[in-house]
Amino acid sequence: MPRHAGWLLVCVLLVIKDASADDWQADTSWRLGVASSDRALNNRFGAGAGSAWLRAGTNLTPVLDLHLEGWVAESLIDGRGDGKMELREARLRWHGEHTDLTLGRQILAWGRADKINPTDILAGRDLTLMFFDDDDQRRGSLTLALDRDLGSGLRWSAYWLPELRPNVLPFRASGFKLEESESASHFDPVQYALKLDHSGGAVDWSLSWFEGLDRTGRLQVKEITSSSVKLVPKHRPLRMVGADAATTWQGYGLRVEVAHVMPHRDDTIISNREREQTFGVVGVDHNLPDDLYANLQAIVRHTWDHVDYQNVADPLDRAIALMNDVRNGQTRATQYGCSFYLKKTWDNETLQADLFSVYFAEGDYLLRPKMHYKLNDAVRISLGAERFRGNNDTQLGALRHNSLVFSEIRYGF
Amino acid sequence: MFITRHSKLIITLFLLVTVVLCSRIGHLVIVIDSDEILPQNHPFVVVTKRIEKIFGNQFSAILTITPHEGDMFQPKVIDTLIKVTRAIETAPGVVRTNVASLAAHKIKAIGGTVDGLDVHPFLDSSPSSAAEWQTLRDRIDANPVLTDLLVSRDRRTVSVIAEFHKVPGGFRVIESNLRTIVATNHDAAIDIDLAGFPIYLGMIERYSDQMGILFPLAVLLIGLLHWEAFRTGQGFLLPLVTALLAVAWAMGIMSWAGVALDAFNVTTPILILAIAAGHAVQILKRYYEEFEQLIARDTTDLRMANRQAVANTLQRVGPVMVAAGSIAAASFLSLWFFPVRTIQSFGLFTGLGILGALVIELTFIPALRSVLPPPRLKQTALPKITIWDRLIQQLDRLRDLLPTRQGVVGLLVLVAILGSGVALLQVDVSMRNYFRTNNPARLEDAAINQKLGGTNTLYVLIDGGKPDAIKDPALLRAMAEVQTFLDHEPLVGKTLSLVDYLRRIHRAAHEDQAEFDRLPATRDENAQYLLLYSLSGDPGDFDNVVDYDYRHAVIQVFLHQDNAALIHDLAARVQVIARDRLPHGVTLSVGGNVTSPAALNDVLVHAKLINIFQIAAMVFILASLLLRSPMAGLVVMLPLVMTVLVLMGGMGWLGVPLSLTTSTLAAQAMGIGADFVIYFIYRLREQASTGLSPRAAVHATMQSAGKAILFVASAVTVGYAVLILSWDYLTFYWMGSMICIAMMIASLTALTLVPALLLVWEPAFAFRPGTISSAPASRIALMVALLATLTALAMTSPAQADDAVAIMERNNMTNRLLGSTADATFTLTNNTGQERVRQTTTMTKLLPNGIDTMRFTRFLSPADVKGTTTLTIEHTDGDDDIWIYLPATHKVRRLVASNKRDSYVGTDFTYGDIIGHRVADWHHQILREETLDGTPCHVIESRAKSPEVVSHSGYARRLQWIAKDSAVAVKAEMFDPADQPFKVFLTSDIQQVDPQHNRWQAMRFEAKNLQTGHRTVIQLTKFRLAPNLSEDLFTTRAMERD
Repeated sequence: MPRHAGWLLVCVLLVIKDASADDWQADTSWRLGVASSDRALNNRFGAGAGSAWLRAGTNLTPVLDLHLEGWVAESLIDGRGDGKMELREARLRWHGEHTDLTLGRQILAWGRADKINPTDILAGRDLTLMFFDDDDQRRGSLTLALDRDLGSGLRWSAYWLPELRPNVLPFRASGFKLEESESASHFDPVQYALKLDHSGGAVDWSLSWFEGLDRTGRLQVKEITSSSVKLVPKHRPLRMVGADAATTWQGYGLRVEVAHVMPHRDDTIISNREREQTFGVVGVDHNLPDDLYANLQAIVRHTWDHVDYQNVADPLDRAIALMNDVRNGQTRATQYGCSFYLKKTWDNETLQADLFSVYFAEGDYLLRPKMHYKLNDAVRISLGAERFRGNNDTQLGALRHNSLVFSEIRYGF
Repeated sequence: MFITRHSKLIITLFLLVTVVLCSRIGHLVIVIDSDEILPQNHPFVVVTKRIEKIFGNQFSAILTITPHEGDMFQPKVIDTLIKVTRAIETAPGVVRTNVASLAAHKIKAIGGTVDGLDVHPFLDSSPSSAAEWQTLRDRIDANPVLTDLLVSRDRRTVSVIAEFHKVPGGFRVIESNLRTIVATNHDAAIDIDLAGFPIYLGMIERYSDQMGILFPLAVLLIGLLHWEAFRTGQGFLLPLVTALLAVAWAMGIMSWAGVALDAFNVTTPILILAIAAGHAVQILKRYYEEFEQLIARDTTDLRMANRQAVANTLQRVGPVMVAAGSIAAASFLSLWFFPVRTIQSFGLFTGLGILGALVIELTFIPALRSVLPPPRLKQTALPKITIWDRLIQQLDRLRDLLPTRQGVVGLLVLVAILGSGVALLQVDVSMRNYFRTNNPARLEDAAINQKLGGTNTLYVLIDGGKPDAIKDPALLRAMAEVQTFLDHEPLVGKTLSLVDYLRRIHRAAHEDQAEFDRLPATRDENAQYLLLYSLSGDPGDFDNVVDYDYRHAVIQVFLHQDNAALIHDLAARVQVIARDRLPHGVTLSVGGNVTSPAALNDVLVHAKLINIFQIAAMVFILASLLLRSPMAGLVVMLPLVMTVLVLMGGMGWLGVPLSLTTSTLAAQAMGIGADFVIYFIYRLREQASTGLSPRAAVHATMQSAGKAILFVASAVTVGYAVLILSWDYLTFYWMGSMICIAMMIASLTALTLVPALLLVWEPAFAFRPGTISSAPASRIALMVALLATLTALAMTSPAQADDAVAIMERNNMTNRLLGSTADATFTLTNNTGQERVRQTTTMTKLLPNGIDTMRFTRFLSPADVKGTTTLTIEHTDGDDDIWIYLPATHKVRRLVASNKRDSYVGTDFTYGDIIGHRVADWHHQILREETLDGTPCHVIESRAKSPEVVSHSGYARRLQWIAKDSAVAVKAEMFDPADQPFKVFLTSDIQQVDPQHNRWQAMRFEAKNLQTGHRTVIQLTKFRLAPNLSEDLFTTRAMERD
């Protein structure tokens, strides 16, 4: 859908919102963000976007809800960025006494760890968007979900996800071009997921299973021309079993999350193959006095059938293997790291500052300090930075050209 | 000289103070209340109060009817039973729905027929035919649950059991009413006996009324003794004036402080009277000596001589009096740390009385004496040889005997005998033992205990943890096993619980076949049988054994005696038996009236020992400071040690039990006896400083201070001796006789053993003092400071603290609703006036423990937090469980429990303010009463008990205005960790939202941060009581819904 249609839709929804205020629960925000760089790894100076966000819901009947959520964005600086729109969620939910049935595009967010969630592979993300909250980069996908409450805080959920909405990652490599079109959203009926979840009591936990396609995909050569190699991401089937748990003890939160991903081994070309890997996060968080929150997590990712890209003989295959390993964080057989999150509020939550950082043993790291100031109930000003550092063959180091400082003003009503 | 010069001003000021102090004596409350007597934190007492709260059980009385001949199945017995039951049902204070007898509507015969269950009252009227009599017999036989409770095993006795609340006028009203019912239905052919807690409490109140006669008699006897000693009108009158004014002052101060008197410390005026008169005698005796000496020096101006004598006396005896009085006052005030409120009141009352006597003796009496005409010379002339002189001579001889071998051996033998008596001392706090065994009330009590299961009730409380838990067959089987265990205990005469009723219904529902005399097997069956019963019976028929929602049940256990040790043992074994039998999550605890003595027993044994050491340590420290010698401190303690030894040993040998009243005897004796040695040593130092040899100094001291000590000891003895006249009431009897003995021993030791020791030892503090002038200002100042500290400690008042804790507990519970829904608007305003508004909708539901709450909050605005939902499940004893749903993250996240000091969603309230601060973490004290915006309030100061509490809450201190009616804090001032003013909270629009459970809710809250100027107003709208909210609404699944 062209983005001006999106703007039109926003206007229509705003009218609906005002006209049917009693029936609709809706909130809207207008955002204006500028940054020192875009997120396309191109070293250009200056980027920005204006966007309109709308979230609306209504109870169609006492047991049937409709929820809509989306945004429209427009590049601000001389057409450098693309204008975009996204219908993140558009779902109908029927809820019975113990059962919920949801149909439509929706965002499924899994995992109890903080910000780094190994089991969170159902919803795609667009990491090139010029939005500054991680969660705003999520993409919804068409899903049929069935939730059944088993009592005592236990419930199981079954999902059918016929729509693939892949991750969109920044790409820039000399001599290579990425052909995204084949990996755009498309219908694929062979994706299912199950989850058994427990909330309440001493420990929250869940067991999950996913049978579907890899959201990131592995790059393959589509075409080699005289000037470049055209690559295309192939989203291959994989299976994931995962588990997570969270509890609190003596004022400390303890979180653990682990996922084991098993690829289909049907590809003979090593660089094309998905890797079997186990990804785990364990952490502790605590509320320190005076509205200060801290979270520390250890990260470990082991690739069971790891192949060092440097051992790939063909230069082209080696280059592509490196790109794939970087995209999937698999340049080392075992990757250790940690993350740290600190948040502090002042003046009755008028001012908030936080710092998120991730560090891996290879020396690559991310530092993301942010500050939000609420001028009033409607207007929030944010200021922040993202600093990626590391070698080219590391996941975070590869993003170092996306380091930026940014500012955003948000008006919500 | 100031006093003699400004005597009229001092008298006027004194009278003014007296008028002010006494103006509220009319408000002095005299109560008798189990809360006053019992240690409120003892586990038995806690459980008993909980049972009272759940089941309404309070003070049980039992009345039995037994014919002289034949069994109960005769018109005379049954007619009387019906009449008595009806009369008790309308008696003042009775819990009408809990009256139990064959003639009570609540008690029903359960029978089985081919059609099913047959439930109806036993007796609507007296049977009139043989068939009807037989039916009654059959019904009683078919309902064995009543045997040993409402009918005796031999079918000769029937009973009425009734429970009473406290009534205006006290228990004497209840007792008197029951006795009137007995008298009205008296018949020569039947015996009607009465027993129970209200009867004993009523009798205690009636005996306490005897003080109206005994106190004036004590005044008269003390006055006569002083007349005998001084043979002057002033000698008769002035000590009595001091004593009576001291009593009036003490009562006045207590009335201003709002401390109540009770039946257990009504003898306190006699104690104050005796002590105050004693001090007055010391100063009077010295005054006469000084006056005589001045006259002997040819002073012709009698008026001048009078004034000079007053000044000299004050100068010489004043410091000693302050010292001795301070020690006595400190001893009594230290009782404030005794964990029983009645003894605290006693300590405070007496301590204040002594301080009052000091002030009076050192200001008013000298001023009065200086304006009165000087004594006529003949008045000052003491008889040449009086009985007192002869007594002194005898004591001199005894003193000289002590340092001999025979004396030492005799003393050691005496100490050994008395010491072994201490080992025989028994603790017995049973209320029935306040009366002689041949007292009619005790005889009736014994008779009832013999006929029925017992007059002592013990309750075993079962808490199933959730509604309907009691219907669980496994739980009922466990209760049955506990009951079987109890039934086999020799101490137990009868047990009763829901199990008995269910077994009976089960059998009756199966045509009374014996094989169905057991518990139903399933929960459904239990529920169905109870429903079946309710079709014929009344909903409240089982109210005394199970609560309305079947969460709590009680096993009533009737015991033949209330021996504390046996009760402890039984309670412990019940716990052991239950531990392996009760299903998971079910708890069992033991309480009831009969456990009160056991609770008191625990406190008395431990606290008494601590109390004795506490007083001894205080006397030692103060005396050592005063006389500048630790050895002097030991000497001062000598009579006290002997007194305690004699008292405790004597009580052991005589079989006098350590009880609520006798437990204070040691404190009283030590308080009075400490004066003796201090007066003696001071006078001895004075005499020695004139150059007399030690023996001559001792002789001279015996003639002056020694004689005064004899006067005082005699006055106290005769004052207390009047209590012996209350022969039947052992509380008064033992107190009277034991204090008489204590005074004799204390004075005897002070006048023989102490001087003997001093003569052998010749210590410097007695015979070679550096100076005797020393009203040593610094030491007196130190004494006064110590005393002031003690008084201040006392005035922090544990009794008030207990009240304060109770008020804060109520405050903590007053808004704990079964369930509620409300919308709230949070308006946050910063110091520039800029506003932010947040709107939420909230649901709450009380957890089964009745304390913790589940709270579901969804933010409706502003846009940036809209849809954010939190679910909090409070845990009083641990971290709360908190989940948050953020629309942006699309998932529910478990949060670490916030620090209680952190801001609640950006407001000026902390999480601790919203959830409520744990009452037990703070020291609470009622500061005053105040009316705030027309609402009468208790102003309560709460101080953090530890630095951890300060750290967790963010407050060092809280000052709260708690509304008397609703217990809602209408205002609170919070102080930061540096104790600086931090925040002010105001609540308004307080509504009683749940009248049934007396729950209140403020609809508007306002908080202002005084340090930042930020302000928060929370306004509740659409508030609705919703006790039946589904638990499904308080789940993470519900949070994800739009």
